[in-house]
Amino acid sequence: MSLPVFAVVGHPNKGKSSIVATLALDDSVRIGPEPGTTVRCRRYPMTVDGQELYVLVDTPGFQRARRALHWMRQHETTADRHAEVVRRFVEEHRDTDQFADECELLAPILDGAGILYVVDGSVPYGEEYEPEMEILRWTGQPSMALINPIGPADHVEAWRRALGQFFKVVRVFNAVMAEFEKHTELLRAFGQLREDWRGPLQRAVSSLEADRARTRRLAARLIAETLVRMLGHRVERKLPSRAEVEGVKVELEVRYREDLRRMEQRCRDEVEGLYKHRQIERQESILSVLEEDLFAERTWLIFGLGKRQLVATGAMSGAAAGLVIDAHIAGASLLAGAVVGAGIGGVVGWWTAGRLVRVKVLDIPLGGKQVLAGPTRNLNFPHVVFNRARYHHLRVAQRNHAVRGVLHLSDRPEEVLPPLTSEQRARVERCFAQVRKAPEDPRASEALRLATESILTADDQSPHPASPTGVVAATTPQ
Amino acid sequence: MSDDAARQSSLGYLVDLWVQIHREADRPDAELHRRDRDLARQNRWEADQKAPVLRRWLDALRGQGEPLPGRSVARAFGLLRVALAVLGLLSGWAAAAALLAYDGTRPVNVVHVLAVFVAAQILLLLLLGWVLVPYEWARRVPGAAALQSFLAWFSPGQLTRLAGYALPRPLRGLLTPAPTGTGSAPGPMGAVVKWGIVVSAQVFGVGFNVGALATGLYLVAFSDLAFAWSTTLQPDPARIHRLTEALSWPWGWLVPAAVPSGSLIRETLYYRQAGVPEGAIPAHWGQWWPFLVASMITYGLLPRCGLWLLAKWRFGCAVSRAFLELPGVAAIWDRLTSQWVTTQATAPETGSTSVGTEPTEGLDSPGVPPARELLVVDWGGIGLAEREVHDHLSAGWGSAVVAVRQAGGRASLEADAAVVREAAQGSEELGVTVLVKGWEPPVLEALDFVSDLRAAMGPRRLLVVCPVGLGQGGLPTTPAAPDLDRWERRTRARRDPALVVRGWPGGGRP
Repeated sequence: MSLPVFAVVGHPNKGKSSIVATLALDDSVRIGPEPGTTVRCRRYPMTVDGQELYVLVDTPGFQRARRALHWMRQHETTADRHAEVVRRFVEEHRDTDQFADECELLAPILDGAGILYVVDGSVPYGEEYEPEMEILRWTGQPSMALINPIGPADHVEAWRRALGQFFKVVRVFNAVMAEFEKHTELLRAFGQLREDWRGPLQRAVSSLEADRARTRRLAARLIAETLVRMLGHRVERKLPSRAEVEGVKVELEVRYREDLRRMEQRCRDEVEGLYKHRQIERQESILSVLEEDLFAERTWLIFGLGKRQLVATGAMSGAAAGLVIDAHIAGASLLAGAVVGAGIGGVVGWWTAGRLVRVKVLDIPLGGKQVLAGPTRNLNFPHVVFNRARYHHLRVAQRNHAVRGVLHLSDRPEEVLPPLTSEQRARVERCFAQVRKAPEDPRASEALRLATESILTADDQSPHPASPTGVVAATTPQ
Repeated sequence: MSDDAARQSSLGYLVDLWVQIHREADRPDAELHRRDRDLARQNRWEADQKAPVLRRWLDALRGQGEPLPGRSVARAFGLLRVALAVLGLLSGWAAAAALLAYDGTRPVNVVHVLAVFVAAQILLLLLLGWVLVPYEWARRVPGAAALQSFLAWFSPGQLTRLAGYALPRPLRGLLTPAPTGTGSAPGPMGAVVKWGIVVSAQVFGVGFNVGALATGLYLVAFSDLAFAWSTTLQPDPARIHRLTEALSWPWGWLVPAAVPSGSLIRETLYYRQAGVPEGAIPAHWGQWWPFLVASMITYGLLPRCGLWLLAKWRFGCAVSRAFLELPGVAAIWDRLTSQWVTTQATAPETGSTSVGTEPTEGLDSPGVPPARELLVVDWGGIGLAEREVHDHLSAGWGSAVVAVRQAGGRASLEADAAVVREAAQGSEELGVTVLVKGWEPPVLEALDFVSDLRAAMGPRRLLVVCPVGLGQGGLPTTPAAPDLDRWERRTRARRDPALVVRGWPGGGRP
């Protein structure tokens, strides 16, 4: 069984590279308005565990198709030898500048590649395309025409009529707007070109779908972990017991908000990386913490003991002393000594903690004030962060690798996101409560991850209001 | 399993896994996925259980040169426990030697021995029980978790945690997973640290009891000890008898000689002020030792041994559980079991054709005579009628159109050549305008034609490339700015002062 190889060919600037970028999930493909952006063939092998299942080849556009066809016609003998003539053409002109692009693009086809001929369905059909299509027909390789509507105008029907005379299969595929499902649908359609290519292409599609599910899983994990970190995050500063705290509060608040923003942005970058978008420029409003009462003050003591621990220590010591008294009177007090001792010890511990903070040993204070900013107690906060992350994920997951513009993220994601079902909302709410209660507990984080994954999957599968058109039709002329 | 793997303890693997997860936290998933999937495929791990696969994965990484400290850390903890056992033995010896010291003047006070080797040990066991209450339960009682945390600090097993400060920074976190230092915080590592501390504490406890017992037996065997009981509280000997009987209950049925009789208790009541009572039989004063030894074994050594075994078992369970539940394990398993899919190019993209970037010059280039008449060439079959071309260009540019010819597209190369010959024959005032489709890019074939025209016309005659835009209903219109710009840049690269690009004048029909 031969490896399916597809050469993406056509007139310059008709979206060949966009189609390759989309199918190869590669946003590093150079896409430009200048003809000649692609000057050399570039291979995009699709591999699963190192095994190639198919290869896409991006090629330069035809530049002198009419002259090339003229040469071929001059050397034409019979129809059964057309491919041979094309081969001779390439061999004779390979080392010259005159037909550099034609030789480059024809080489993989002569090596057995299937042809994906790309045209722009938003401009009128033109006679200058006919020499290109004729040359491709002469190669005798299996072929498919893709109408890629780059602009708003619609000339698809005219193109369909013209292409149908040269190609067995004609499909419309919007390279820039096509979603993942359209992409896999097109790959399956490539199997129509040759019977023995169907198996590897089917396997490729299954692997791409599994990989997509894995990517979503990783994204869900990232979002859940970020949310857990953000919900438990706090910044703190230890101060001497008589220090002024107002200025410190301002500084801590700035630091706290900046930390949250950094966590969120890092999550965004990593989610984009997972979906193989490495060059996205984002535009998004800054996360607001939505809380006024963000601060708390505590007492800190040397050796890391807090007030509660001091009280417990005092109570314990008091109880021990009380027990000795109980023992002296042979238990006749029914452990009243221990109970009273624990009470006295606890009170002394509490009282001592308030004074110990002012004691200095060798000019080092034994304690002081601790000002904390966060974690936020705002009930709406996790929902805001979660919806922003969901929305970003949805936009990135749906974003095509041929798109080069800025990713604008709405300030009101909840208005454009598919609404959560009551069951989903309740589940997420439970997870948030669990995380708030025990942010260190990995079970809470795992529960949130699973909930996030199921919601991201539902988002991804829901019909989106701005759902673009991908493959809209296919014709197979008799 | 390799010999190396067989030698590696579960704790060593856990440490390795923990270190590796932290080490790789910031590495891109793609890189790790590729490595791990390759390992899984090469070694055919797909069908195996998670724990053995993870152990083999760690072995493979170690084989690839990853410095994994698990074995050294596990060995260090083993040594630390031996040190704790030795420390326990010495403490037990010291305690027993002090409490059982007898120089013939005052007998050994049984109350002291019971207080230290029975009462204190029972109290410590109760406190340990409190520390072992699961964190989830303790946190529900106000102050209980704090007390638990406080008590945990007094466990000799905490020495293990102190040893953590001697470890490199990433490993330190392994021993202090909970910020409060309770060792019983939630999370798989919390349980490992908690039970690790309990095991260490029991090692110390067993050592202490063995040391004390050995010292006691040695003194019993190689010296003559005299025991008595003495306390300021002056309890009734009958009550003391009941107490000793209760304490002897576990072994009394088996070793009756190790249960002190009432007469022994009465005989051995001792007052320091009074000294040894008259008529006391020295042989009876040594009869306490079987009871004391049995007490030390029953209330000291056996509970410690039992707890040690229980803690070891729980520690093993916690290690096994943590090994599968550490945050990060799911991601590793995912990488090992998910196919590694790539779709991107394997080689970088080569450079594109360079085009000029100089600013556009106007139609009326200096030194180029204006064209009063124009020969118009329709390149590629735009399909404009001759009359339409004439009206538009006359109105827009003020030049008369002498003829409109077809070239490019479906026209033959010979037709192109004929147009070039015709253009060559005109006067200096006859310019040539090539109408091109503005929406199509400037391909070399069109630019070749322009070059042929220039070569035939000579350098001074005006040559205009006129991109035509596509208006509503397919009508010709002014080309879009980016299209015009695209043509300008391509022609400007030719550095021909008499070659200009000018868009189709006006939209629709004149």
